[in-house]
Amino acid sequence: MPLLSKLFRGDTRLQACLQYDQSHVAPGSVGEFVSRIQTALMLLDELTIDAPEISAKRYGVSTARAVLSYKTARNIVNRSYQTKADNIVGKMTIASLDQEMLQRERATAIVVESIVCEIIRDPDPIV
Amino acid sequence: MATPWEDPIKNRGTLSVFAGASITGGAWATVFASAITEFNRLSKAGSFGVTLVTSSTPPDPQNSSGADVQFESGNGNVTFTSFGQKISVSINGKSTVGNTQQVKIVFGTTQKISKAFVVVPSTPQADSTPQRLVGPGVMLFIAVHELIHVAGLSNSDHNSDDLFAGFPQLRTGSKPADDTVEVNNQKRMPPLSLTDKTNKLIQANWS
Repeated sequence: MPLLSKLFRGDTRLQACLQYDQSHVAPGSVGEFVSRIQTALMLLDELTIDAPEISAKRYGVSTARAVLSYKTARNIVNRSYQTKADNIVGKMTIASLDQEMLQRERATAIVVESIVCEIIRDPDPIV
Repeated sequence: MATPWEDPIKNRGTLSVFAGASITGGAWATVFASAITEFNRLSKAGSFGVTLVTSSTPPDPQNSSGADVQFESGNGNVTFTSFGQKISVSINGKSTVGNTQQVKIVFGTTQKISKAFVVVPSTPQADSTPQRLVGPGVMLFIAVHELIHVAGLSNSDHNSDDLFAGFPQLRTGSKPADDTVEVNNQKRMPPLSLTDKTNKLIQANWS
């Protein structure tokens, strides 16, 4: 099953995360795929991630905290080996993020506001 | 009324700006670089909460990847595609206008900017005989004014007393370096300045 949201689809790293346990995304990771996860967390739950981590596309302390918050709120727990949520994005988490982003994207519309400004021509021009 | 940028961008406190070939290869190349510097100077002085950085990656036509802002000049129709939607801007290359397209994501009753596209005239002319390009100070005025719109302010946020004036007037000098823009109370620019009113509008949009 491919990732469906516009935010995630086509991202091979996140697609691997959805399919393979060993491809989970953990603290310390860096890259565009981390940036996409950060974007989803901020859009869906308005979670705060530190600006340096966003700029560096780095899965640092505040990103890990946001992931934990997201998973705890939805009780995303792999009960085969854990009793409470952790701060790692694995199969279940990326699937949940993707579904919620897809729903959000379907409920949104794009509008364009056009703003035109003009410097009025010189009323007393040099000739 | 000002529109905030999407939360991930707002939290970052920076907007990345891609200058197209029409800027880097034309009359605007030097002015564009100065405009970024000037915006950041005004941002620091006015505590905007947002700064600009240049990017070498254009906005993705289909999604939110790439630069947040694209800056181009033109004469005639200039087109962009954003989130799969075509945007067309018609501009007279000899005019002294600036055009900003704010691409907004609407979710319920909330609107947030996700991308912005700026178009300026390719060769804006002074009111002189023979005709010539306006001076760099006037081009800087146009560029930084549009970058204030990029920061989220709309037409209704214009005032009469600063760089963000709604009805600025061109004052053509005897040579390009003497060209200026006059706002209220015969204040001439450059140097560019903003009043507290405009500073506070931008601050509120980025806090």
